[in-house]
Amino acid sequence: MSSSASKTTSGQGKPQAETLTPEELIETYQAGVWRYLRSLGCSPAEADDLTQDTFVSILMKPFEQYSSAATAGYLRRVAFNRFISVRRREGRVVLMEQIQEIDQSWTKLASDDHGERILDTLKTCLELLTERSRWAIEMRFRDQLSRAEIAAALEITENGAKNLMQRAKKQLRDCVEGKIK
Amino acid sequence: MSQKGEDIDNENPKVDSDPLIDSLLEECLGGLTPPDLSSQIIARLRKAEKANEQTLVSTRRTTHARQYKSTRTNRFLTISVIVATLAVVTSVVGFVAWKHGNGFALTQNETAQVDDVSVVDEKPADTPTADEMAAEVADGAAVDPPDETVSSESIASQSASEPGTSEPESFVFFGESQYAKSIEPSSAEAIVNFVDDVFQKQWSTRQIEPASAWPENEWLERVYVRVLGRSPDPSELASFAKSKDPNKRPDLIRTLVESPEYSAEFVAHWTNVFQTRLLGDVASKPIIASAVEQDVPFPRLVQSLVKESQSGLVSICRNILGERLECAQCHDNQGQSAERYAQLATWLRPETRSQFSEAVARSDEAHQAFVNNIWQHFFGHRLTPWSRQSDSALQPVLDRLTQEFIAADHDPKKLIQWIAMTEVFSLSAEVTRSNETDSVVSGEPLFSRQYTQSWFATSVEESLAKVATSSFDLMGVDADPIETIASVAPDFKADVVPENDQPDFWSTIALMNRDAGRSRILVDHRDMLEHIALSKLSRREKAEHVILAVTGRRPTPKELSSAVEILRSQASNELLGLRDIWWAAAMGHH
Repeated sequence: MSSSASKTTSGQGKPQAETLTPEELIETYQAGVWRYLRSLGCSPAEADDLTQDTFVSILMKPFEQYSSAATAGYLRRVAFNRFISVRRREGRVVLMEQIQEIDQSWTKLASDDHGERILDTLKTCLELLTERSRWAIEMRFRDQLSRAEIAAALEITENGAKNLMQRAKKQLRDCVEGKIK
Repeated sequence: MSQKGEDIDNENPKVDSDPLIDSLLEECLGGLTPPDLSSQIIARLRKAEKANEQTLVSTRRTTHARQYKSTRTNRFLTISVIVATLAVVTSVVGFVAWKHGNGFALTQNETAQVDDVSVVDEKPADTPTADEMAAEVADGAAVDPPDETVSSESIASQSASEPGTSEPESFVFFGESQYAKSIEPSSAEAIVNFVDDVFQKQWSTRQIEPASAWPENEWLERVYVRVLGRSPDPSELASFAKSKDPNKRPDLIRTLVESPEYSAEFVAHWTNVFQTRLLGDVASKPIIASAVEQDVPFPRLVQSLVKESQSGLVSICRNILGERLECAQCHDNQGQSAERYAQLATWLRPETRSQFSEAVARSDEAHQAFVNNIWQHFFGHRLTPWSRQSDSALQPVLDRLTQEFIAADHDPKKLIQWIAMTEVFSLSAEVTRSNETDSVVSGEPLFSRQYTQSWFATSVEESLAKVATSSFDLMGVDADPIETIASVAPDFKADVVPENDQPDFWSTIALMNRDAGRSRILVDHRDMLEHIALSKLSRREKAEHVILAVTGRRPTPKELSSAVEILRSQASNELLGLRDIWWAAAMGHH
């Protein structure tokens, strides 16, 4: 399976193809594929499984890379189709429009570097939230508290806690999109 | 996502969760970082390759056995085939000879059909696209990775550097235009008369008596609200009432739409209408605002929206093409074709989106959908149903308006004027025995009366701002109004601007309680509200008084219950509560 990478010159003006070893391909792209699947709505276990499926499908033949962007896009497309197939086989409702919007957002915001930049940007944006909003988000995602517990901690109603977190997430999204553009 | 996290967001997953942000937050704060799956992937790959080899070996064995068996039968088959072939050839020769004897030649029609550009859904070149290969890979087949001619980024960059590339043959799925033959633009009067005639004929055929026309001041208010997004101010009312000009109605409409005096209001209102109502999530604020202000031609606007919007195919079909394909993502359903969805979806990829947007901008469907959208803005309901081939009785109206819209260089101002000038638009909401069968519930409304519509919240706000002589802020409390309302109304959704112009009571109040709205109080009504607040009436009676004063009718039980809840929540400042009830009632009144 492993072979040294080779470069292929294919005619005038055409990009050079590069043969990647499976290990190289997986090491470079697995984090991005996993994060992409998580953004579509996969649980961590589902994302683990589908990431493996995606790479196995592609690696049944030697993989030639023309550009990292093309490879990442191709991997995402395979992962996307796998995700849809699995959901449909399980009989789960697939909100195609929402999934496609997420796909487009990911392509726009995170495709260049497998999601590293958007993560860093998100951390910066978290600091820009109001204290209450940041508490609510941290209680939800870091401490895994329920809505009732968050509401009690902030001394507001459950509905108020829900709205607060919705607004905070919207602010984070707007902030991330604004900074990355 | 953790179980608790799922519990939090499962209530309304589509609205409440943002999977992209959620997953990143779980990684950022929750430590759910991407695992190293290298060893698992390699192990699975080895297993899959081994399984593949075994399949190949057994396939070869089976093939050998079959080959041996087939040799014996081959000889027999060969002889049979030769005999059959001879028989077929003989038949064909005989047929040709017979046909030649009867004048074997294409008729004129057949020639024309052969020469005509037929509507065929053609796939692009045989080279599989990245999506097709990805789909095959998803189903387990091993395929070659995409070469550079179909990599999405390289094609995207190529198409970006080749603007105005001519449409490939495969875009004929929109069909030949029925409006291709250009006509001389008709006069506004001719168009309006045609529209009114069609409606008259339909009413007459179905024995429907249209409602009486609105009184003049009501008609005037309706025009102002639909064209400018606000009520007429007292001076405008007085000026119109005073005029005895028989053409004052069309003249007024023309003035509101075209005169520089109203230009700023017109642009602001229609930008809002397109963004929040007519184009749904396909709308892009910068594109819309610029288009309305600079009279950007309709095809260019549509092309920009489709090309640059981040929306998916379902949104584009619904808002731009007037076609519903929500169900067709998975299956055929009531005119929604899964095959059509699949065909259109192949062209929405980044590398072909530009060409797709050009084809959409030229399509009849986009033009008809635009006319239907404008009609819906004025009447509350589409002229014809959601369908690619509509057999609606009102299709001639849609066709004529679309044709004239194109002939008028796609000027939406003309379309707005024609619709506003019709007699149909001037009908009141009066329901009588002779028009009660005409309803939107029937699925084919005939507009023999005005159907119920609500204002935009922003229209009410603008109207209040226009007539207020001064404003003051009644807010003397520190509480966040959103949280206050949320604590009272369990289903309340904060910061959600109503998607249609029929918001519920609570959303209306939330909208009015934004900072900008707080200071816009109608001074004229303060005395009345203060008087009610200071009286000894019960909360129920106070709420009833305000609603009666605004709408001229008693409140429904639901309205009364909501209004009482508002007063209860504003116990420390009842005047504020009464103000909120006043606004909410005023909004529902129209």
